[in-house]
Amino acid sequence: MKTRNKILTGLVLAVAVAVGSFFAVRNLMPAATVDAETAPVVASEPKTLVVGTMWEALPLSIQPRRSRFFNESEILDTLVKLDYDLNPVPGLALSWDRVSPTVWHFNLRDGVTFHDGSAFDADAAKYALERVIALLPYAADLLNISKITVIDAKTLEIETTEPFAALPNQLSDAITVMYGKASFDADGQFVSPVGTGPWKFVEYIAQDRTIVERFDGYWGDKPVLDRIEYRYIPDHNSRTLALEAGEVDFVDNLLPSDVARLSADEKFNVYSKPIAGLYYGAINAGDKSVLNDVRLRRAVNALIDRNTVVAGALDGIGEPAWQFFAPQFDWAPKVTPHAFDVEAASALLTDAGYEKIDGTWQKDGAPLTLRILSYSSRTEMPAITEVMATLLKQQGIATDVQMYTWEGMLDFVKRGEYDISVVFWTPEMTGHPDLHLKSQFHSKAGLNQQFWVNAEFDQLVDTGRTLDAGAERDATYGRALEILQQDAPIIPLVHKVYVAASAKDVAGFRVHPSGFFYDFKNVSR
Amino acid sequence: MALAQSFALGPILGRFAPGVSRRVWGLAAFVVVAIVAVLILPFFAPNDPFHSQFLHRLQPPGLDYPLGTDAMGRCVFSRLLYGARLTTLSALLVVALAAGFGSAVGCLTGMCGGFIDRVVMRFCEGVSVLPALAICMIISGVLGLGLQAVIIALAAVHWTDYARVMRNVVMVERGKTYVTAAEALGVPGHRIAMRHILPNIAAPLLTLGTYSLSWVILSFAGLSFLGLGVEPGTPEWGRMIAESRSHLREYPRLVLAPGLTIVGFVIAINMLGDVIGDRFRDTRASYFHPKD
Repeated sequence: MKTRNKILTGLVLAVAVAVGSFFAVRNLMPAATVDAETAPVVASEPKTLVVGTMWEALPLSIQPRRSRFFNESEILDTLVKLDYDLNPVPGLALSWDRVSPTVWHFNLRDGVTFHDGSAFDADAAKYALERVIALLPYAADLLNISKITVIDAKTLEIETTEPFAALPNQLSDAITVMYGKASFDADGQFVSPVGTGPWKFVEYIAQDRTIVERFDGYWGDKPVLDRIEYRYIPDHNSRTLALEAGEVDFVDNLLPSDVARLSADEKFNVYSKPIAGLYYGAINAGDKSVLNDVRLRRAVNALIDRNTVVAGALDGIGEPAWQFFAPQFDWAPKVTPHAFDVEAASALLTDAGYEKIDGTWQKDGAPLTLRILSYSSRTEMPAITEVMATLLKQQGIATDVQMYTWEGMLDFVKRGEYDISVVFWTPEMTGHPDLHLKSQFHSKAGLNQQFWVNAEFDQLVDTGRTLDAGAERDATYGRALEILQQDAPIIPLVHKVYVAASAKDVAGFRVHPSGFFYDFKNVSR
Repeated sequence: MALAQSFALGPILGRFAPGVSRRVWGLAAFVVVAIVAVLILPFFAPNDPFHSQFLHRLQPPGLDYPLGTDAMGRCVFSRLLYGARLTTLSALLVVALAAGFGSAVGCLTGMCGGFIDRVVMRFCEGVSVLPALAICMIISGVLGLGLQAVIIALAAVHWTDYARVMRNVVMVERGKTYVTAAEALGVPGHRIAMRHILPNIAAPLLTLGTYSLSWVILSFAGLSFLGLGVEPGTPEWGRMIAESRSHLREYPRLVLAPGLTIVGFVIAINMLGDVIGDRFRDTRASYFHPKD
C-alpha cells in the first residue's frame, strides 16, 4: 500500500538519521586518520586544498553580478585592497592621488597580465569599471563615478560626481573587480572570470564545486598551493562532518556548537576572529508601524540583553552589539553604546502612553505587539530572531514572528508591513563608514526600506564622504552614528565572529576582517 | 493499548440507543477518548512550554525537566506534550477534509461511471503521481505562511487517495447482488448509494483513514521541519527537530525526543488501523445489517 510505503520510508529515514548522527563521527574519523597516515606522498601530485563553503562559490549562475566570490577567491583583483586592519593598500593600483576635490589619479601596477596573457593597463581598468557600473545598478551609487579617462597606459583618471574621499575604500569592494576582456564573449555576455589574480578559474560545476589553479604569471607572491577546490556544502552539520571525515581540508561558517568540540580536538585548527558583519533588527520607522515613535524604538533597544542573544542563539560565538560599527575597528568614531536598562525602557514606554498591565505593555486596552520578520536561508537568523522575540516577550511586549525566504521577507518590508526585520549586513567591509550609512540609512538611498528620515543624518553622511581622513571626518561621522544610536532606527544585536576550521596540516591561514577574502596565497599544507 | 479498551464501552452505550449498532458506539467512544486524551495531555506538562530560561539552556534530563531543556532553555517534555495536541488535531482536520471531499468525489464517480469517472480519475492520477510534499510546499507557498495553509495544502494533495479507493470500492459493491436486487425493486440511485452502498464501504474508509492519519502526521512534521506552517517557537514536533539541528552533534537527545515521538506515534496509529481493519472486516455485513 502506498501510504504504508511512505510510512516505512519515513521510519527508516528517522532511524537512519538518529543512528547516523550517533555513529557518523566515530566511524568516519578513524578512517580519515588512516588515510592521512598511509597515503603515499607523490611528488608530481598537485598540492590541492579542498574548501567546504556555505554559499555556492558561484551562486545561482555564473553571472558576475551575483558573485563576490571572484574577489574572495582572488581570481580577480581590485585596484585597491584592504590589509588585515582594513586599511587601503595597493592592489592593481600602486598609488592614488586626489588631484582636485573630484578628480583622482590612480597609478597602475606595471607588468601585470591577465590569465589569458593580455596586459593589464589603464584601458583594461576603464573597460572593467565601466562594465561593472553598467551591470550593477548600485555600483554607480557606491562609486559616484562620473567619468573615467585614460591619461596614459599606467594612469587612470577617475572623476566623481561630487567630492568623494571614500573612493579608494569603495574601490576595494568585491564588486569592483577587474574583469579581463576575455571574460566576455563577442556579444558582451559573461563567459568565465579571466582576471589578474593569483588563482585562475578552471571549472565550475553547478551546485557542486568550483576549481581554481595557481597562476604563475601573478604579479605578487606566488601561491604555495597548486590548486583549490571550493566544494558547496550548504548544510552546517554535513560540512563539518566532511572535514572530520577528511573529505575537505577547510570549512568556514562552523556551527557555534561545533566550535568548542573542534577546538578541543587536536586534529584540527580552529580560526576565530571578530570580523565585519552585524546582525541587527531593522526597524520600520514609517507610519505603518508603532515604532515610528522614537521612544518605542529606544525602549525596544533597551529591553534586549545582547549577551543573552549571543549566548542563547549562537552558543557564545559572536560579540554583543550595543552600537552599529564593531568597536574593534579604529576608523569608526566612538559612540554612546546602548545598554540593557529595563527601568529606562519602562519610563520611555510610560511616556509614550503605554501601561504595563498583567505583565503586558498596553495602550487603550490593546497590547503592544511587534511583527518581526526574518529569513531562514542563513541558519543563524531564526535562532537570533527567536531569542530576540523571546526577550521582548519576557519584558511584556507581544511578538508575531514570521520566517520567509529573503525575497519573501523583502516583499513585506518594501510595503512597510512589518515592525522589525532581522537582517545581516557587513557594514565595515570597505573600511570606511560611508558604505552602509549612505546606502541603507540615507533617506534617499534605494536600499532604505525602513522609512526612516532624519535630515541631519542625511546631511552629515553627505558631508562625511567628501572629507579626507582626519578630525573633521571623525566628528562628522561621530555625530551621524550618535544619531543612529539616539534616533534608533536599528537594534544592533550581534557583531559577527568568523569561525573556520581546517585539518592540522593546513598552515598559514589568517582571518581577514572584511569577511570577503580567503587569502589562500600563503596557505600551505 | 489502553485506548483500544474504549471499544468495550460500545455495548454499554448501545443499551441507551438500541437502534444503533454496538460497534458504532464502540468506535465513537474510542474516538472521543483518544481526542480527550490528546487534549488533556498538555495539563500534565511540568513546565510552561513557551517559557525560555536562558540560564537553564541545554540542561540534561532531570527532575525539573524530564527530557532536559533545548537551546532556548525550554522544557522539551512539556513541548512534546503540547505538540501532541497541535499535531493530532491538525492531522485529524486534514484527514477529515480529505476523507470528506475525497469520498464524496469517489462515491459520485463510482456511481456515475462513464465520462465523469474517466475525467475525474485521470485528474486524481495526475495529482497522485506528483510528489505530494513538493506540491504541498508549492500550495502553502502560494497561500502564505500559517497553519491553515499547510492544512489546506495537505488536504488538497491527499483527497485523491480517498477518491480513488472509494471509487473502486463503490464499483465493486455496485456489482453485488444486493444492489442489483435493490435496483430491480426500483429503488432510486441516490437511495441505493446512501442506504445500501455507503454502510458497506465504511470499513475500508476507516482503515484508510488511520493510515492516512499517520501519513499526514509525518508530512506535517516534514513541512514544519522545512519551515512551513507553524511560526518559530511553536511546540510542534517537526519544528522542534528543525530547531535542534544546530545542536544535533552535541545534544542528539534534542532531535531524538521529537523524532522518536513521531515514530512511536505513527506506529501506534498504524497498529490501530490494523485493529480497526480486523474488527470490521470479518463481520462487516452482519455488523451494519444485523437483521440480514
